[in-house]
Amino acid sequence: LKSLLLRALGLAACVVTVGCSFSTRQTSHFYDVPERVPARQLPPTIDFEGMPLRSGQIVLSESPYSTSFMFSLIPAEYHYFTHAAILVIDRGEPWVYEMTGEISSFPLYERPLDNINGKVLRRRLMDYAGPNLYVEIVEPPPGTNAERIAEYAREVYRRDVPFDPYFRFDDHRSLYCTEFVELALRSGGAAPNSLGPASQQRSLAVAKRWLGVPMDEALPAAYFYDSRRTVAALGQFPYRAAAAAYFEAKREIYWRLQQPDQRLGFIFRLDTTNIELRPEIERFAFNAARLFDRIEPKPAWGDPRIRAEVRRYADATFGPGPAAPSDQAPGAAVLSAAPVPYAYLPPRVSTAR
Amino acid sequence: MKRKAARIRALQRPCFVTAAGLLALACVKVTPELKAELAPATPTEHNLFRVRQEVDPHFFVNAARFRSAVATLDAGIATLDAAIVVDAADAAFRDQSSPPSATAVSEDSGATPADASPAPTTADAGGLR
Repeated sequence: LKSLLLRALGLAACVVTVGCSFSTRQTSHFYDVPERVPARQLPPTIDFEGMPLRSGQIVLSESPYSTSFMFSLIPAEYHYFTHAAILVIDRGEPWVYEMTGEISSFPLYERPLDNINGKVLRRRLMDYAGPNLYVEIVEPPPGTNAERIAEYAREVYRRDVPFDPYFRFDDHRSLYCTEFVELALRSGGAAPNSLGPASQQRSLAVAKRWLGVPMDEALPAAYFYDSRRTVAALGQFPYRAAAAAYFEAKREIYWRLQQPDQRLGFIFRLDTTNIELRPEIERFAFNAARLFDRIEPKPAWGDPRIRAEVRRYADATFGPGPAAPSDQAPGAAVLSAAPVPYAYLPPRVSTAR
Repeated sequence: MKRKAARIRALQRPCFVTAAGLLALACVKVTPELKAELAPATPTEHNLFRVRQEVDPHFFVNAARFRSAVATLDAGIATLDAAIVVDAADAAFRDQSSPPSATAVSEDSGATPADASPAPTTADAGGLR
């Protein structure tokens, strides 16, 4: 009976975690990225499938699961990427160290997140990247000691530090994914990021209260992102601008849902036991990724026309949305002055923690 | 092989499992308050995600309009890219045998119009899902 129960729970966990349908195809596209970073000159670097990789680099990713839409909604601002990890070269091979959690089979607790267990997982880069929609590998901030960053990741892995499903940054006895990366970077000498504000949207607040996660703060994976330091980009989209359009579609969903009268039920649906993305929302996001299929050359990463076209597409699909926030389209500078590198999000520096 | 694929899928989760997974657990109750938030939109609600029309993405970014946008770009980058973009845009525009496809659908049906290309699926969405 126990075996049957375990199997049933495992199946349920698998089904609900997968959520919406997705491809199990392995990563088939490696995208060109501007060679702004002298990564090949920073020892020790290996050439892996044409990518200049070394220990201590940061791996940022976007999964195809409906939960990635949920994660995007939590911060007070929209950001690309919903997961972060550390790249470590072990015996000449790139491995990804990531802090992650999953539903435990037994025991079952009443508090929802008490049922989540996890720790640092160590996987080969392509095993990690394959099922993801999109992955970027970026250099750590200048001046950091990459080997120390990698050593921190190895140490947490060795110590079997547990996953923190409650996102408590003030308690490092257990860690969540971006907390793990943040502490790794700090151990390498990086200036600390401060936690950012969380969205106060009413419907989201109901979900957060139910989960018991912090209501006011978040540490988005994009805090570690600076496209000037990108050394590799890979994923399942046929070209890189398609990934950008997908992210911009998520931005549209984010911004519309942030309006006070919007509800989670407008983009998610409760299907007996699962929360899934509503099919029209999923279709919109993946259609948006195809907007530039017939345009050559493809717009560059950060081209403001990507956001503009996706917004226009959203308006055509759903009707006019609310006035856009005052944020400038990321990458606007790229078009006005090509040699100027595009920084999506400057790291927030604070000495508060 | 199946087991390996399942293992990869199981491992490939975001950093934690939120409501999506938790709701599967019988012991975890969804509060009435959360249930209300997750309820489908009623016809009278102001729903910014109600589909007005399904639009074929292949035709939506019109090449001619894209060319026009290029013309308005900053001079430096326009000089760099315009010739290439305009040529490509012209070619793409000539290929278009029909105007952008946009077919109205009933508000909540979410149906894909018959004249639009199929919606992305696991099989054909460029491997996206």
